[in-house]
Amino acid sequence: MFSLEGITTNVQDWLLMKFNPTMALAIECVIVILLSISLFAILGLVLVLMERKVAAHIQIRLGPNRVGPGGMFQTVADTLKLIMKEGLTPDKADKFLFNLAPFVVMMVGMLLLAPIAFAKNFQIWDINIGVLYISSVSSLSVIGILMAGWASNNKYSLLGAMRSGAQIVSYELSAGFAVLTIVVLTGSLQISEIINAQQNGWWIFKGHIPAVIAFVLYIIAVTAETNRAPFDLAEAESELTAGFHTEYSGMRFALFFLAEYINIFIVCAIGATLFFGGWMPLHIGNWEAFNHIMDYIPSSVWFMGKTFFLIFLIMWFRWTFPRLRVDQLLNLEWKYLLPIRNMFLKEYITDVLTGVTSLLKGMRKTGYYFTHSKEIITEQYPDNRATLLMSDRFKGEVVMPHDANNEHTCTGCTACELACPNGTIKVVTKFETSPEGKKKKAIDALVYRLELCTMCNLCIVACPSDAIKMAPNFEHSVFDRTKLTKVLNQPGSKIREGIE
Amino acid sequence: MYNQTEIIKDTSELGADGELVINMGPQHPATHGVLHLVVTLNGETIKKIEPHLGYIHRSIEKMCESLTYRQFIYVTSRMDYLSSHINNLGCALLVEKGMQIEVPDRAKYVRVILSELTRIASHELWLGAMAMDLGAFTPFFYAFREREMITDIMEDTCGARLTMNYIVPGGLMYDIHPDFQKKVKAFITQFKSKVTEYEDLVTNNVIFQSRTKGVGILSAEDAISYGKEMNQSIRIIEQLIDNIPEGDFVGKTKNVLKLPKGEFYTRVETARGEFGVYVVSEGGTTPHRIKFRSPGFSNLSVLNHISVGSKIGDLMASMGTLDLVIPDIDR
Repeated sequence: MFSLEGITTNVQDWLLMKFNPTMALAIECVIVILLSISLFAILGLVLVLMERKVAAHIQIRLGPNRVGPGGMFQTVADTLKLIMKEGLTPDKADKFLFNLAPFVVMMVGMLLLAPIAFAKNFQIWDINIGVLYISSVSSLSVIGILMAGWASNNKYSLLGAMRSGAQIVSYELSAGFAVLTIVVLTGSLQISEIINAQQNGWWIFKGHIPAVIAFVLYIIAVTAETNRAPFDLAEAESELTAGFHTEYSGMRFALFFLAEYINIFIVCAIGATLFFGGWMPLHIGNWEAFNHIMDYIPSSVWFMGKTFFLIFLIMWFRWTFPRLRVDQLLNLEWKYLLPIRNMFLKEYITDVLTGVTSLLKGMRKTGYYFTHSKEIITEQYPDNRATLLMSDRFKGEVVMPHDANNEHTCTGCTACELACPNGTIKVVTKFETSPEGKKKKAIDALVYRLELCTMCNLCIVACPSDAIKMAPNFEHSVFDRTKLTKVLNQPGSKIREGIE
Repeated sequence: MYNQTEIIKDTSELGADGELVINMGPQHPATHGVLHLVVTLNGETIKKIEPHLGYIHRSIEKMCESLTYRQFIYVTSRMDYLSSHINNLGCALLVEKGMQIEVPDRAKYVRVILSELTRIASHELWLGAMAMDLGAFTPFFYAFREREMITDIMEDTCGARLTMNYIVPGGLMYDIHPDFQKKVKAFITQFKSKVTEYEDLVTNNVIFQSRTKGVGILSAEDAISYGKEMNQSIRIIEQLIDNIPEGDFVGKTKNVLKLPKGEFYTRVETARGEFGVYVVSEGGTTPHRIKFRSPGFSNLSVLNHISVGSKIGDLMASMGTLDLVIPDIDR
């Protein structure tokens, strides 16, 4: 049975055996820092890919599938691109704060990793005021966002940062209340105590209605705190272009991006710890055999499974709901999540019920598409060239059909040239002498400039002898523009007998 | 290290009451093209909106003066590219009215069906783009799945997916595709089964409703009427699709079209309002002067009126409901 349990104690014992206690502590710190940084990198890559895949399947698309098997290395490639890009600093920005902001946001994420129990006995710091530590440190992230928004010297950034400030500070309250419910149920602020208290049942099952309400409040509040849709007002792509990180590019943008996903992971990990028992396996009353089997699944798997379930839930929200307006966002917090407004209970309950029902209906639809991959309608263009069905009437370019004897039916009457609205066609005529000695007008070259053609089809309609037609070719890109000017009649071709 | 007051000064263009002036567009994710709005803000509240036009002006009206009455129709596809059929129809009707050309019944039926299909396609795009403006990305893909069926029908019959140029003075450029009726019926069945999906995801969603209700005087009504309009279009198509009469698809016209001397005006209802064509003819083969009354331009002029006093988020909702197509505004 694979388990992380005991690794920590083994490492510490070995270090204490080799070095003096101060040195051992220093080495431990270095190991922890290296581990958390690599965890950050891996989580960032996995979560970004997961988000893109979840979004794609909800939106009846395939998502990234080109780099590596099933698009696995897409995010690696993206990260490499971002690292190599130039990180621009706007000329009139506050350079010090501008460069500091992404690191502040990242540092908050790193600090929050400390009290999280990843598996049984696998925790960086089991601080006795764990829950208080989490709620106090997590509110620091607003400083980084405000810093970024202010220092960018951009109006969109500033608006985004101000929105974010109001939002995070308000939603901290609901998140705090939700967490306090579990603290009251457990009677302890320590993370390990909270997990141990759920040995014979997770709080979400054991805590009855208060725990369920607290969980709903928690998931709404943390979605808002991490600036995720439907609460992504700080970024609000369609309103503020990119909000507080409009001016960031290259690796500094990547840090903001990474921090968003790390924050999601952390809040979901905390949610899993508080409501779903962290690494604690599923135990049901006195079903001894069942509980025993559950114990065989490693505790780290339990923890990650629960965390990723919550992450999926938050992603599901994002790809289903529209964004709230800034005043509605604050109304939701102060009037519904914290019902301190003087409101009739009946009105409150009807509002909440109708709202939640409509949201659940939407989630059912998107959930249906996520689980039914046969609905995906993506066409993988260059790969499906052989089976691609083009309509035979598709107007791709003008061509002149020639028969087996290299003969066409164009008389050189210039009707097409006259019909063309923008000079795409130019007919160059010549006079041919027939064997009888008669002079006859004939076509020398029908010059067609594809780069001008609007595919209006007027030339085809105007042609009295059906000499030209539209062909369904659409792969016209060339590196040399002169290649788009074509002579439609083939070299050495002549007019078919009997065409006047 | 830095001087904070200096930064404020640089950020300025601050108005008299500490107002903030921001340029939304020409490159902005929510303006669906190159609309440039100069928005005066007080915090999040909008004080004034001033649309700046001219970014993609192509002088289409002047261009039309050098094109014949057959040729100038294709240009109108490039104005409101989402309802190009209906724009073409308006121009064709004008020429037919001026020259008293008889249009066969078959052509009339097909024209109506195609126009209604165009209207539905346009509203599908509106639905997706509107939801996207409000922050929900997913409905866009569902709406486009149905829109794709319409563009496929167009491709089969007209040979193009966006700028058709299929309607000509006197009728149609060529006959409909043999599969046309079958495909339109398949679309109607698919569309009807998916309408509930739009309702669940968009129109009945509590966030969508609260974002659109009471935002501007026009937008709440529009949000409802759009949905109804799509259903009405479906009903019109259902009535016509089985009854397309046999016969010619184009009436008898002269080779060279010459409008008699005088002034002519026709109007049609496009997907986003009334589209009018006004032509002054001197009796020649080309119009002497031409003026298009495009719906997007009139719709845009109401934006300032309905948005003052609301929030930035509301501006996106208002702009979404006006369903602006920038090349239509800026001809």
